[in-house]
Amino acid sequence: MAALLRVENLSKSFGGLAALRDVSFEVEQGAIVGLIGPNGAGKTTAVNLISGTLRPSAGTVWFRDVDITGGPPSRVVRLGLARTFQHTSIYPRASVRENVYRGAIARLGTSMLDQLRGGARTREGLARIDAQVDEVLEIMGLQGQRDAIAGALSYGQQKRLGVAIGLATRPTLLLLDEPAAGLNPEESAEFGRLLRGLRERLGLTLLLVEHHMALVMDLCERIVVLVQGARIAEDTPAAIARHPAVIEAYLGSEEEDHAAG
Amino acid sequence: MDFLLLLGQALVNGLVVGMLYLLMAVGFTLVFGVMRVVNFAHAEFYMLGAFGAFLLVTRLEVPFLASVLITFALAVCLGWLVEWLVLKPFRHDELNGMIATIGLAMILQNGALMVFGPDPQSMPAVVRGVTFVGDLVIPNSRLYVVMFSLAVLAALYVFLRHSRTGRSLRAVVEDLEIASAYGIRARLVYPLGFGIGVGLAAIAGALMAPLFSVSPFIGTAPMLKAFIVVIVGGLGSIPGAALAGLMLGIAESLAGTFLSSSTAEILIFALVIAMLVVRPSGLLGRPD
Amino acid sequence: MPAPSASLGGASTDRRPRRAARILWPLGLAVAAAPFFMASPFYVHLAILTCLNVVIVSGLSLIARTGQLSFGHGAFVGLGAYGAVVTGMHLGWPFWLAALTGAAIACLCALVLGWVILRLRGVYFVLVTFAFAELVRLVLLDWPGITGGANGITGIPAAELFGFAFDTRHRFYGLALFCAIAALAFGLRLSRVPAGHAFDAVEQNAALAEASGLNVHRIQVRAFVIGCGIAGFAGALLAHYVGFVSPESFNLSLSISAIVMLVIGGRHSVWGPLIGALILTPLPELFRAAVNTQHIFYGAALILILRFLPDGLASLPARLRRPREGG
Repeated sequence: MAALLRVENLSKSFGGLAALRDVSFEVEQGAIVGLIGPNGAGKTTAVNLISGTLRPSAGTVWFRDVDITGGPPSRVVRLGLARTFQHTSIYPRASVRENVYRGAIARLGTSMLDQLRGGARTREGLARIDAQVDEVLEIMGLQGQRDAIAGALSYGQQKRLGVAIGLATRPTLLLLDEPAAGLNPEESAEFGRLLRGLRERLGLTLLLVEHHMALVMDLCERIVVLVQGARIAEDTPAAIARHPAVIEAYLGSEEEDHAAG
Repeated sequence: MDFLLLLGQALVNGLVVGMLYLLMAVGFTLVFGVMRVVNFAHAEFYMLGAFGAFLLVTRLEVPFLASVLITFALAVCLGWLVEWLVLKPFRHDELNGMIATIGLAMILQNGALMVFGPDPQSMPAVVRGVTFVGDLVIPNSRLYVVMFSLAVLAALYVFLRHSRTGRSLRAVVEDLEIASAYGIRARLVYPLGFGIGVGLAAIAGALMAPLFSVSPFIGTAPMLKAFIVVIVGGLGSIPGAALAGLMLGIAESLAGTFLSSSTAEILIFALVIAMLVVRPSGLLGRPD
Repeated sequence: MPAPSASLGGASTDRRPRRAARILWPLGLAVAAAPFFMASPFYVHLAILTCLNVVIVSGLSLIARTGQLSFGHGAFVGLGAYGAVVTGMHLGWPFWLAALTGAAIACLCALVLGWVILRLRGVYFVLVTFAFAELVRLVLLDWPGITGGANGITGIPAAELFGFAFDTRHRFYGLALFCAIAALAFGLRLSRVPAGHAFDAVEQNAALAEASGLNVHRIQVRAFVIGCGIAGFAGALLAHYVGFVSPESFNLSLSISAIVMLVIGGRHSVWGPLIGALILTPLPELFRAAVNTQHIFYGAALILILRFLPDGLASLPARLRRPREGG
């Protein structure tokens, strides 16, 4: 089979500003791939284009050989590509378990009428979903907080909950938008272990979009580098770390950060 | 020849009505632009403005022009107070703010009902006679309204463009985040924006008081039109509201002259809905 | 055996203490049954109006549960009313068919309108529903052949089901009560099934819901269509009770009072429509002498509720039980 996810010549302009220019890359089944770049590189735009939240100005996104360009996001998710949000998105007023449950119910597939009647298909589907929700809670280490109100969780726990909601959709590929944001190095490393465990336990393919290098270097097998909307490199972490253009881009942006200080 | 005359007359009438809509709409959109609140109580301030002018002229025998100005000042103060006391918790909470203004409208309208009673009262004409422009007839009272409205708009323009407070208001309408970054004080801008917005409605009411009757219910009809104007012009865009206000006044007048007035209204509403669907940000609004 | 997830019962209907339930149910039964034994037609009339309002506001509540607020709800009540009356009187259809037709007309209009406008952000949706309501009123006024124009339609016969005519107040109260209970039961049941959880998800975080595979647009349209259909059905009932319809019966003030009832009762609770209707329907009639003061109180109550109890009176028990978590 061709690669699980194929991004071909993806471009996006906002007004006169080109956020992404002719970006192409692939993600193989079972791989852990990173998409990195300094601020303004177009990473978030890329995530939104792949997940179907935005329509590209040009280019195509293929997932399992199906054209998913332009979404709608709910359709992309049903095909097996789930994303998490950079600023962690949860349902703050609901319990942890309810949060994960809401990630799963789209897959139930029974009509409202059948649900209202309490039909057999609904009952069977719900029993399956209940088991799956419990499994996800356990994998993400949230079983102990299942009845807690999501809004009251710590930042790190909310991040895990965000991933759990994504997992509840039973994806084939999980697209993580800046998962290390707001985590200190230790938390970041632990998160990395958690993610690796996801691949092992669930056979998940992972695409990490990140700004911080540490997590990506440690976790990913291949890294794609974006700078100002264009792909400038794609290689193993070791090679990327030595790549002159990459170093330039990151050093340059670091200098800007320091100057703006 | 007759047709041209009819057309011209319709245009002139439309202009007058358009100014009224314009004043209502500009105030309304200003409130939305500053506070992101759809002010359902806007109609009540129009009504209070009318009563203000009515009382000042008939009971206290204040000259009309002065009454209008005093009414404006009172309305701004009232608006300021109301924003500060009642609406402050709802700043930037669009949905709840809107519902809160419904509550406000209920309070204001029923308060007026209690004090003034439901019966329409009429105000003696302020200016009599007509002016002839070629073959077109313009009642002086309406000419008065147009001129005064233009003066108000000019003053508003100068204020928004050239005074510091005015520029702060505009900045907030343009982009709140950037405005806050420049330290524009929310404590001042919100009550002021609301006050001036409803003050404009009050002026419209005061100006129209001699032309139509005065009762607690007079705000509803112009408010409906103001909604349309603001939608078409773009929520939060003052030039948009001005442009759309005039357009609506003229369109209504033309349609009413040449079609039946009810068909005209239906057409206009259908067009408005279509516009909202196709371009929700209106003619000049910012898509966001 | 109910699936364990059934007890997940949405964010809004937390587990009620058993004690309260044991008091409330018999009390509710008594209150509901009382009008059957009242002699005064005035009180029975109030009870009927309350039940109809429960149905109307239940419809609105459904729409609100997906995060949209309709300012044109009254128009859909009117569409249902006129639809039922016209098919009943001009085409001679039996009441049940006419009423369903009225509801279907409301559903159809909601489908067409909703499909197009539900993509709009909250405020714009409000304005369009507002404009649509005005449009409906104007069309009703302007079609005298069918709608009777400004004079409306009079002499609407009483509702009738299989030969049994609901032509006395007590009889009609039975019908209205049944419908009110059905509307509440529907809302309750819906909140317990996955479709209801999906509604809550869409309301609380639409972007996340979409990213979880829930098609937000279709869910909102579905809620809008069902909610407006329920309103339409209530309109049909109303028309056959009052015996008269006119375009002014379904104008903006009906839409607004539905909103006020919903907000005060509770936007996020199944019981919100009941509480709102119970409190706000009888009061205007009971305090006829002080109409204006009373409306001032409503306005003030609305503002206070929005400020201090934004989830309405229905959230009071939960609020009292739980210490306030950072406002």
